Amino acid sequence: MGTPFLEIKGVKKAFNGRVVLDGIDLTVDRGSITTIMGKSGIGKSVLLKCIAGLVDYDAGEILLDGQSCIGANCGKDSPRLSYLFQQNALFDSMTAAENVAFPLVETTRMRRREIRRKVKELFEQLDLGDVANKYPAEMSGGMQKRVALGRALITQPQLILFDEPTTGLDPQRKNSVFTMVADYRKRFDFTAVMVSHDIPEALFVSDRVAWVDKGVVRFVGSPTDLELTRDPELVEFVHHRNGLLSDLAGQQGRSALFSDWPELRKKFDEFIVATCATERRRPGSDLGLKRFVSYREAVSSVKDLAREGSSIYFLDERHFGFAVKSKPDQPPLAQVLRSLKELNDAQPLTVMTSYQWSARSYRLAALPSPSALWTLEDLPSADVVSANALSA
Amino acid sequence: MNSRTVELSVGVFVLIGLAAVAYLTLRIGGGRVAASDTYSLDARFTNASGLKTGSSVRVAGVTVGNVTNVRLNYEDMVAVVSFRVPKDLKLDDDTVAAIKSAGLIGEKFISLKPGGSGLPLKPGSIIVDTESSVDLEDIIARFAFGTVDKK
Amino acid sequence: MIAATGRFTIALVREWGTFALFILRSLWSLLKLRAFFRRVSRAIYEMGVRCAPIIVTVGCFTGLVLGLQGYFTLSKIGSEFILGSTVALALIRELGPVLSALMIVGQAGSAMAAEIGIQRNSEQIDALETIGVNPLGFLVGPRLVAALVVFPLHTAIFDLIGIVGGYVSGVMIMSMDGGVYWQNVYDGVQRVDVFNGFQKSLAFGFIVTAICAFEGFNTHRKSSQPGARGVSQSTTRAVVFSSIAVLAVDFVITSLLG
Repeated sequence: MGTPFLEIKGVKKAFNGRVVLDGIDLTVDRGSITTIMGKSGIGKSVLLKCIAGLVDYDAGEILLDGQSCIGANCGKDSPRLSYLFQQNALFDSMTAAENVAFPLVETTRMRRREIRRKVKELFEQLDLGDVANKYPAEMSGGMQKRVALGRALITQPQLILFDEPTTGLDPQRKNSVFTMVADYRKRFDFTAVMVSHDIPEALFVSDRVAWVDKGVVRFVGSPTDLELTRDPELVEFVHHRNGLLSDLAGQQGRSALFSDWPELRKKFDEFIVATCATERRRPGSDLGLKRFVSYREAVSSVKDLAREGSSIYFLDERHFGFAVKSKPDQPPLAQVLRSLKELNDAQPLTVMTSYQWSARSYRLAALPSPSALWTLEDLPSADVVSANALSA
Repeated sequence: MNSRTVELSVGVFVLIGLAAVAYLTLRIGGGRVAASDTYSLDARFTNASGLKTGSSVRVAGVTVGNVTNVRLNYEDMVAVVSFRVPKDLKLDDDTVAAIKSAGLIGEKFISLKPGGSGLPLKPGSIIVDTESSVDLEDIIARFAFGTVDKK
Repeated sequence: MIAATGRFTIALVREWGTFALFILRSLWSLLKLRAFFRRVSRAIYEMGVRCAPIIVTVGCFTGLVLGLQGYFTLSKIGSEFILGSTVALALIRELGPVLSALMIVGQAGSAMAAEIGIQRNSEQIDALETIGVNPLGFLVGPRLVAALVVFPLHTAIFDLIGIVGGYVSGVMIMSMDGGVYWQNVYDGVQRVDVFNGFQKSLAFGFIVTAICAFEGFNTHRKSSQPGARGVSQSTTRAVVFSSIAVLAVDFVITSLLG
């Protein structure tokens, strides 16, 4: 392991005497996705802007690939950086194609035809074909986001900073933005630093999570570490958001699962069900479960069981999840997915496996809304089940 | 708004504007022909009050040139006024230069009355046959105190 | 009290310093700007072509009123014949540069402040910076150059239309002799007057454009409220400060040039 790609050392920043960043230390590995979380107004965006060189920090040091000069004005050899702004910051007097071409037109000596070819190529990769000649005002929010991502990607940057990429998007679009980030990271090979409020979703695409509070990084670790943390404030922060989401959207899915519980139970040796929403109500006892635990506890249980040698996997459907001990002849993930499908084959469902392991997504008929299914633990790639195989 | 329309309208605007600038500086602000087409004359007046650089020089009421300088000759205590007139305006050496005013308090100008001697005034020569400005206060005073000859 | 005075003075000096730096940086960054002429011509379009109707209208009415008022006043002392130079000198030396500058502030200056302010608010200016384009060179520099072209041209157009307006009210309405009017215009105006007028308009153009761009550019820094309010505040400040600057600079130049 060499030097980290991005290194932030003791960065401080105050506005008019109000301290916003009070010595931030953070390192980011090459090719990883790091999410910075924290309450609103805590200075997360300021930190991103410090990294991008948009804001001068008062003290400390930010090194990108070992160089202290970051941003566009540092000469050709410095690593390229792009910034995806919260409100996209598309130039509203230019069409989508002009927006995407802009960095090349303005900062390179590339020929016009070459630029046009590159833009066209990128538009195809981003599925943006039909908006090329539209102005930002004529596009939907999701489209604008994708055009902005296109503008960020066209220079083939090594580092992309995402400032709350999902603000103002509906839940489905949010998921697709995160899918996009994870997917393009694979395809275009960049390092990403992201500021996000979307606790459960953002975690699935992140390799590392940093929690900023009172001007310092209070926690750094993998998303799983975050779930296991004992820091009461952080727990409250994470679960407050989760709980709210569950209350809003979890009812339907939960009842669907619980009504068919006895049948589901027959098929598998062991379950661990976790839901943040039910954490407060503790309804597990009526279901005759071996263990019914909170989301947080569930993760650790899975870990324990995994240590004991059982092949147990933990899935999360945003509001509840399964841990399955597999029958020897069947891949465990497929079993769960299939039984979910049997539970309710009326509506399509997007199932996303862990982003740490694969960013591929599956579609299959399963639970009604809400619509996502994730594994949290690493799965061996042999267990990957394609959507086609499941629905066949 | 496509760029062609923008370029076209900017072109039209700049041309109109430049024409306006040219008209203002050359025609209204000047009226003067280029220096190479003119020649300079001096005229001596006992009183040149009201004349200043830029005052017009007229022949038969038509402006032909402008005053370029008004100064005092310290030896003779007379005003020497330089002005330029076009080269093709041939003046004889008995030309009379008079300071006239347009109306009671109007601006002062030099009125040239061409003579007929047949001997042309050379560039830079001095017109000595002059009529100075009428001193209004003097006239009023003379009326008021009765020193005007009654005929 | 003393401390407050000191604080105010320091803030003022700092603000002026920032403003001066802003102008210098904008001009400096022009050196690296791509497609310079296209950007400048776009700015000339915004400030020149789109302001032309209001310049023509205001110039015309100013001339008409000057002609009428001048005629009334001058005829009281029997000097109507100098109406031509009265109108022309007033326009060329004073009203042309000042009024056309104020009109351009009202139309193009406010628009510029609002546009740049919105670009600031929607992070477009930050985006330019991360892309590697100097926002000052991109947004402000071309406009400063365009102002140096547009303001004198508009002033000239304003002057001429105003003089024609004076002719219309003096000669056609008040039945003064047309030849006398024009002769007096030609006689009364010297080239130095015309140049003075243009000097003023160049100074106005530069300062006004710089102020409007500066206010828009610093929307995030100066406004007490973010968002639409901030933009409205910077637009207001841009127009007010520009108008004051026009009149103040006018006084200074007039007293210096005489």
